Amino acid sequence: MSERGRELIQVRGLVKHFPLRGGFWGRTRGVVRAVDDVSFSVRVGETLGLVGESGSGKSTTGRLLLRLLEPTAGEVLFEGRNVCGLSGEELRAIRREMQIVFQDPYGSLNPRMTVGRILLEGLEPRAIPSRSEREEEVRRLLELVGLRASHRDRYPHEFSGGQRQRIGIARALAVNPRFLIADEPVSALDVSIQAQVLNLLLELQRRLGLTVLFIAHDLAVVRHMSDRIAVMYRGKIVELADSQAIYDEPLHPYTRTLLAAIPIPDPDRRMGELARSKENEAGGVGDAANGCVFRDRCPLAADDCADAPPLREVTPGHWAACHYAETPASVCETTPSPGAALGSPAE
Amino acid sequence: MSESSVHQNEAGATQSLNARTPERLSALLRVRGLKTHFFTDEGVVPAVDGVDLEIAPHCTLGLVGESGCGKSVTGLSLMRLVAPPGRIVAGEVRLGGKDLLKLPEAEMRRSRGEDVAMIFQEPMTSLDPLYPVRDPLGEALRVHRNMGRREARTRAIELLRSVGIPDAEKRVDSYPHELSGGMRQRVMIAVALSCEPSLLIADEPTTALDVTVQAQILDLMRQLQKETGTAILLITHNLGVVAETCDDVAVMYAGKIVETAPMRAIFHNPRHPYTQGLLRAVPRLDHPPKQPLPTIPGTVPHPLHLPSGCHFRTRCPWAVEKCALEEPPLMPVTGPEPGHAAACWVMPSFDVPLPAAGGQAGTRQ
Repeated sequence: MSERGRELIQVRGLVKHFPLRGGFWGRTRGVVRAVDDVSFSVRVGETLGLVGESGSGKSTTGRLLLRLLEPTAGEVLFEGRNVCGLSGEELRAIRREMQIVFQDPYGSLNPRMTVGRILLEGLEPRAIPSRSEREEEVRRLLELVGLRASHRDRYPHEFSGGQRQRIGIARALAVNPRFLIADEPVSALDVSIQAQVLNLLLELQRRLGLTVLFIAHDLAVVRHMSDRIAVMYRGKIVELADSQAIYDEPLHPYTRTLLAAIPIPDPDRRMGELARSKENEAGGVGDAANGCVFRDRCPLAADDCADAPPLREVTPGHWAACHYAETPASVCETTPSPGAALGSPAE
Repeated sequence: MSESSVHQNEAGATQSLNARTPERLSALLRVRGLKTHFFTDEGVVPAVDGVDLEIAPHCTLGLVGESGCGKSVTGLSLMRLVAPPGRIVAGEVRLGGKDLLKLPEAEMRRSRGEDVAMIFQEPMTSLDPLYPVRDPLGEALRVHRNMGRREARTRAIELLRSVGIPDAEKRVDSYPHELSGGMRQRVMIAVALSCEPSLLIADEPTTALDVTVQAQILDLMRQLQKETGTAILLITHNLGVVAETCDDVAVMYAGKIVETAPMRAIFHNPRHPYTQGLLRAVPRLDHPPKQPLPTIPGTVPHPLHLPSGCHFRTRCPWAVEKCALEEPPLMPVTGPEPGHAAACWVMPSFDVPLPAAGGQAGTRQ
């Protein structure tokens, strides 16, 4: 694993605007800046978590990486090659390296195909000549994701949600990709099943040396799965750091708000105060976004926040897009300081 | 309570709700032996199969379980809103003085809204998109409170204000699509509380919302409960939400309550292997990342083919011979907290490591 640390994916200045239509003739009234100047990289063998609330642009970012959507601007480099400039055979070749698992296994599996056919179809790009080898490969894939070979003749509706997600994962892995995007892969699943699928993803990553972009809204799940985490808010990355650091010393006020709002299954640890102090809801996505995107909800907001803060490296490896990232958390009265909260059972 | 945690909750609302009153108030809601079965072509599905619940005024009971366990059907049964082929086949639902299951339909209709109200996960589907929010609010007030149009409007504005909707005078004329998800849920809460019911049933009220909005809605429910004394049955799958809002907890599995206890006991001393499995399976912010999670192996059994004896035994790392032969009833758990019961012949302690087969087997199906 000497190539660990090398960057497999580099995203530079990625932008996606969707036109906002309305009015009598459906004229364009403006744009939604779904992804607004996003840059990050994913290193070989690591999991980068992308976390944010609905409308933050995290799923759009995932789709842009695979070019399931065309970016308005910016570039996505896979091993130094710009994915956005490719077409035809070259694009097909690179898509074999990058696969995606979606949230809803019901919606992403053809209900009229048996699992065997779904997987055979997934194998097509590899053009395995011999039939028996293809069949053997289907068996290997089923086993890889913890299903039985006998499952190959069944239809998607005969499986539970968790098993269906396993099928989705098997299909994504059929082309032996090096990069896997998991877009909310467990949000439709029950807690006990969610744990099974998360374990499977961790195990597969270890066995196959996969590089993963893990997209989800649940920060606890993202942190469990990721080496590093990027926090998105209204189309921008507002913080990017080691997953331990994001939790231990969040620098951006939005990350702190998010952490404070998560109910923890432990009666001795309560949500922070900020979660309820600010009456606000993300809105106005269509507005021309001048200045800091979090400004209108931010407890630290000041006049200079009208100038958009760039994402900057505040401490080594820890990036935040906030003029006041150096302000200690206690000033914002946000999350209970992790040390105190962790260390003191209340009774 | 340590000093630090008291400081964290200066608002006080949080603490007072969860700090348990020394002597328990007598129950407002008392459910006994509730059975709701679905008569399908393939057979009878015992969705709710002998459920007992109790909630005191000012208290919140969390009804916890995974999809298909019967928690939502339990909520609908209390409202007598189960649709065919489902039918309440047995039980007693005592609210205040009356047994809701014995009321004639006309009286039950009056009870809905006045005595017991319900909010759902998806407020967009509960609000009619063709009517501004003053209509559902006004309708309840005019029907139940005999208010005139103008009076109802004034009261509707007050209600919207009480659930934290800014510009209530204008918002009362808004249509549902003009409101955000969090605002819609606030409107639903206002509608539900418009006639001051003594019991509010909230079925996954924050599941469709972003976490920051969820925190605001939970806070609102807490605050309103403090003001009105409404008892709440909170149906949820989210153990974090339970720890944050509930006084008591009932854990449901395959149509039955498998464990019930004061909230703290559920987290600190869970005694049913299913409760323990759920608690272990949740990824937590304060646990080391990228470690395998202890899982509950397998999946929920098909409701038409439930295993004999204990329904959980086929997934249970602790199962013994007796579990297949005889169904365990809810039995009291001796411990510091009264009111703790679990339906398990083994009742393993939470500190004891899982027997060998349990921990890792779950990664494979």
